[in-house]
Amino acid sequence: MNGSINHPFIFSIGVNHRSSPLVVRERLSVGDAELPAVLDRFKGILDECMILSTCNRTEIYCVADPARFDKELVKKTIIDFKNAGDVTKSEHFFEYATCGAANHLFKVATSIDSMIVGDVQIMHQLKESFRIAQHNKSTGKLLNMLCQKALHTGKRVRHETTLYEGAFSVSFASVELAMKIFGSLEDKTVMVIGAGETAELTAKNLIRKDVKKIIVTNRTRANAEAMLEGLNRDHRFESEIVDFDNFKSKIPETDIIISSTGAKDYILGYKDMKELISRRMDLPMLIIDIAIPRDIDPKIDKLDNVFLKNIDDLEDIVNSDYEKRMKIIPDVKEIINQELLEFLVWYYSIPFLPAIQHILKNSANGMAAKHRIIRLRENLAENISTVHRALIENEDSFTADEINSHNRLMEKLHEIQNDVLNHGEIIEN
Amino acid sequence: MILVSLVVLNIVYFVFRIASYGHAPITTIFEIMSLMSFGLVLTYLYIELKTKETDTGFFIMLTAGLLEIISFAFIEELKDIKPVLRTWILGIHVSAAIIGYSGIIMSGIYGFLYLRLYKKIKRNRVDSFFKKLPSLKLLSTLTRSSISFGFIFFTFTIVQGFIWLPKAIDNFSYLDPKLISSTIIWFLYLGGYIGILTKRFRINTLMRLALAGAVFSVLSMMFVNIFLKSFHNFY
Repeated sequence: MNGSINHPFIFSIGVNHRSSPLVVRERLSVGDAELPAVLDRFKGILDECMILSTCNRTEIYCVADPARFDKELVKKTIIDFKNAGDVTKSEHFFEYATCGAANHLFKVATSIDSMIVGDVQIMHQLKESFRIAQHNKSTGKLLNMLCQKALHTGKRVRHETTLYEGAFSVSFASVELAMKIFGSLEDKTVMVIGAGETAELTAKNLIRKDVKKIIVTNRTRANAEAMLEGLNRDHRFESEIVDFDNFKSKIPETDIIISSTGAKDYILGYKDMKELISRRMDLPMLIIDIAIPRDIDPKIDKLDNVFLKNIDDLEDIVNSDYEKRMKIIPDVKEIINQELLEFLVWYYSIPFLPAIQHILKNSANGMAAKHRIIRLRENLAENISTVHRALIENEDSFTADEINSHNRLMEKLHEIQNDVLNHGEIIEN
Repeated sequence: MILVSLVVLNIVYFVFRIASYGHAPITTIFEIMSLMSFGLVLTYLYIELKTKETDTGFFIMLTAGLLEIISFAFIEELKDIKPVLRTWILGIHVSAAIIGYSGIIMSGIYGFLYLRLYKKIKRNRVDSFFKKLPSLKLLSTLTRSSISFGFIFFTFTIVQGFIWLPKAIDNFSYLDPKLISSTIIWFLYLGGYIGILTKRFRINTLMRLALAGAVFSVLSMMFVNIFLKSFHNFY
């Protein structure tokens, strides 16, 4: 009796910030609403499929028979769907198979493959993409397990490391400082002086922490109204527009100031601030000065309980967090390796089910069968470890190497299975 | 939950200990140190339950642990115990004093943490210490609560002491060094407490005073206990 192993492959094909320019990523980006339609197009081509699309990546994770798998057809299908043939070439796509594909998804899920390492958002995006694919009946046993394992790996990284702590950008650094000073922002008033994308983003991030009131001031009232409209669409908090000439009168009641005007000189001097702050009964104040040149007299930072941060200060905080995150990456990779090995043992065990059933059926007593199955699993794990180690040592290996490793492993596993089925024994190597 | 269980266990241990030895664990400086450690944990537990804040537990437990280790290393049983140590009124007096001092020490720890965090925010030093600490707002609230909590128990100790000690002790003297230093500390904290109630201090000044007050209190009590002779030593 001979057992043959016909094991489906897991592939990962896609574009991301490492493989392709922004214009390609933009054109191939698939919104959540489009996902079911594009997943349907893959139904005849692939056995299982899940698509993860964010601003930095559009990646197709799929299961297919390696003999029938046509990677160029997969690329063409997504390019055609997005009508992006004029900017996209085949070389813009990365390709991974089996161990490499799983390893890549685990790295994506834990954010160590992201542009901003430690960005927790990717976990939510993966969860959502997986949910849509499952709902669309595009996933099966292999992808379900792969995605669940990837999400589990992300969770482990969150609980066992500090990768997701700290500020990723100037606006996050501002929020982190505000939380460290005030604890809660629920009874706090924020004043936004001027306009600008970073100022608006910072204000938006603070609003998420449920501030009490937003005051907006701008030399052009219409701009102030437009910004407030954008910030307070759902009217969650009190808001007020103040004439630019009059904004200082509101400072005593303000806890956080975000300033970003195009003024050439300081709009708030030390003497003015000293007088204004004396009316605040020693309550702390955070001032974020994002303007270049600066809006706020830096001497103001010398005042007790006033924390003035300019763009350099905030970038210092972001960079120090970034360096800390980089130091955590080896720990994250260790977790990925553990989870990857577990996944691979499961993945490569699937063809062994007939062998395991054979042992159970033909063994005289339960203990002996159990012992033989354990030895079979140990042998399996040992062989997978060899491939797994090769993968870790050469992380950037692409499909050709990957498929060769996979084939070597499958041959080895095939031999083991035949030994079990033909001789009822694992022959020690 | 673990902390609550440990505190309950410790209380049970103290009760059995008092019952079997016939005196409160206040006969040597090391017994008092152990009691002090317990007082710190008890005070912290009260504040943790009140504020739901657990991030500062490590710093408090570190201090309590150190006191306990020193006490464990040097503790020994006294053969000759003065009769006054066997009265329950003294047990209450000392317990209140211990909790009062615990509040004072904790306010010093919180004041210190506040000042460290304040400096780190001013200098953009976002390290792991920074990440571990709660907000400045909460640290200042914890400092104020600890001072108020400690002051109330300290006041009780002082009042009870002035009423009961002259009757209970033969060689009582108002010029006793420990009595004088305790009274000075009490007056200092009375000033601080009034300052908190009337909001007279700037927040940073209050934090510095909390730290200085705690250091002064601990050092003065150590100095008095080690170098000066007092009727107030029962061992």
